[in-house]
Amino acid sequence: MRAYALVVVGVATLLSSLPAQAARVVDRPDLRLDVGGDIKAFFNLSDPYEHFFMPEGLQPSAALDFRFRFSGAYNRWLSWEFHHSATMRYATEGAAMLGESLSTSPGAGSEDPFAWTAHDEEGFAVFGRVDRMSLAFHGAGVDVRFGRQPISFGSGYFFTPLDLLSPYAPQVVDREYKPGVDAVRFDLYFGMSGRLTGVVARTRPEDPDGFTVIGNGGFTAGLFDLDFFVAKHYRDMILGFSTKGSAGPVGLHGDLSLVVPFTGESPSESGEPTQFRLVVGADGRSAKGTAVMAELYVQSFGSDDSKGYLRAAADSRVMRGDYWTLGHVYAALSITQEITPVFFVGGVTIANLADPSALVGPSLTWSIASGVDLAAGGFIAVGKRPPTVDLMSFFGEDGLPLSQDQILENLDSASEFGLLPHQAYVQLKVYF
Amino acid sequence: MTTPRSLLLSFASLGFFLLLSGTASAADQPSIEELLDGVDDSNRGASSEGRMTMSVKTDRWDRSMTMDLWSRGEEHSLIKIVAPAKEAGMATLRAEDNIWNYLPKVDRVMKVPAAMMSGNWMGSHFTNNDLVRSSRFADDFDAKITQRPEKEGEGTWVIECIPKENAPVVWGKVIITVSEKYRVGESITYWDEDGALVRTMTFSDVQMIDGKPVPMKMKMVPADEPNEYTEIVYEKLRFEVDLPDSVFTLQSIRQR
Repeated sequence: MRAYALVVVGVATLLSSLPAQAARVVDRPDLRLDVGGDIKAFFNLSDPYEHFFMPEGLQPSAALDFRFRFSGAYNRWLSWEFHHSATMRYATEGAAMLGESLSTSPGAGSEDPFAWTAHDEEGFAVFGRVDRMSLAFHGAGVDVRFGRQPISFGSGYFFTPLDLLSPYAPQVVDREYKPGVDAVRFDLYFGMSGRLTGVVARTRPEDPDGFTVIGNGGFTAGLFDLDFFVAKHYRDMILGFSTKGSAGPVGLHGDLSLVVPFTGESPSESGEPTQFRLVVGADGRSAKGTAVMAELYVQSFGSDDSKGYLRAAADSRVMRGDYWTLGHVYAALSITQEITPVFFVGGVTIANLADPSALVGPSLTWSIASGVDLAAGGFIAVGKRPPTVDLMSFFGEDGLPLSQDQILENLDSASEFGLLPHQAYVQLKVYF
Repeated sequence: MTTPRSLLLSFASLGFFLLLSGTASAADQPSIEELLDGVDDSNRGASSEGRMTMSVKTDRWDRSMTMDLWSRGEEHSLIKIVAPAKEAGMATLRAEDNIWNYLPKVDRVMKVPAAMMSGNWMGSHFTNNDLVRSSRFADDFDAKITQRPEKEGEGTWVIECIPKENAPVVWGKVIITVSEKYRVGESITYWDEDGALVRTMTFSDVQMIDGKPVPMKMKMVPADEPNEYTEIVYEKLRFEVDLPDSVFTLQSIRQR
């Protein structure tokens, strides 16, 4: 364990001593090479409430993330990108149980041939992953990219019904890098902003088909971009519409998706009803450096009763991280104030309007020096905590354990965000 | 989460700033309009391509950023950040009335309202209005020459400009010095309506670019913080570049 720690810390220290401006190492008209990376140290403290499924006492954890980046282009028709991330993480048993989303690395899945785990015992883990490894060909109005790459669709920021591939959960502290997915992506461009995109991406082993297929097309009408979306993702067919634009000084955006579940060979064989997910949002920025973003989100998935949250959480879409909301109506508000061009304070609130409950996240960001940032903040869970549970309620009158469905019937979450512990974090980032 | 966004909001206007085109005509005795147009047109041009580094220095912090720029007319510009490493790869496209930012780390193209580009530009001492100013000195000011060069080809012209009534100008007075040798601006001082100096912009390192004299350095110093400044240095610059429509498209902004 000590050897792993020394290696990771040593490499991180060596690389962090490189200048923050040393990104471009070859800069010729026919060849461009960029080398760089970053090191991020995370410290986290969770404060669980009293409940039988919560650990007792404050739960600390820490992580050191290292990312190496290499990218380049040759003669404007070929480009490539490679990232390798490595993480050294320590978490108490309780912190690990709470599932904190500390680092930027998605971790080493056993099904991933480009991931590794060097050590994982007693709360200490060292693991890594190739997070980008793609090659792209560029032609007149055509881009084709093969390999591991980040892929995003839709315009929602907090709520992302069209972002099917590795969407973020609200408590992810660091959203700087979206995890790469293995995919082939085609982009055809028409005029200034017309585009047609096709993506075939590998999914997890539990998907019987093994891949997600996405088609997206869009154009600009006046000051608004309009996008149409269709996808096959696990056992769902998804139809979507997205727009982003502005009205005066206010930016506007919205995503709508219709999710048609199918468990058989055709949608008509499905037992689930079609779902919809809708987000609309607005953002603005004042001359005094205040930035505001607000979103309203409605979905038919989930429950309007807190007793139904745990059942919703057992849905495969939630389990694999595609959905993270368990109710029907939500709002989010983010306000950031620039104190100086290198120091920002702000906060975000994500609320379930029906519970009601909310996750309130104050934060500050300070660019200490060129290439060195410090971020600190936390998440305060506001809402009713789940009531105490009599363990005997998990057993029937005959003394035998109840089924999972029966247990879920007996559990009441009281509120969605009230389920979460309070959390505080500090993050130091060094770029080279 | 806001920093890169607010940063990129400002880039959209940058293309106009790049266009350091040539000077006024080489007439022996230029008119005041020709001198003012020469200063104005140092921020405008048909097309250009280049790289610049902007450095901001204050008492408590200093930062620099290097970016590649392409611009065509006043309605098309593309900016890609080269350094520092944290922001490298971010890009902003302005095409007609539309502005998009691209964040490669998360593969997101964001639409930005043009009206959102207010306030200081990237934490510098320039404002966005400095960069996207559509007015012209000759149109918005009553100007008079207060000093002429002593010899032909040497010295400076000094022009005092008072804003016309109803002109969209926040200054009480602007004083411009123009190099007689190059016929490019040497300095611009901005005064408020109470007659107090607010800031000074100086131009230096004049080089011949595509046959035209161009100041490759600009420095803005606020009067109330004389130890602070923002300096822009052009490392590469070309004018009248043949930039096809494909440069100013969403394909171009996404290419890494």
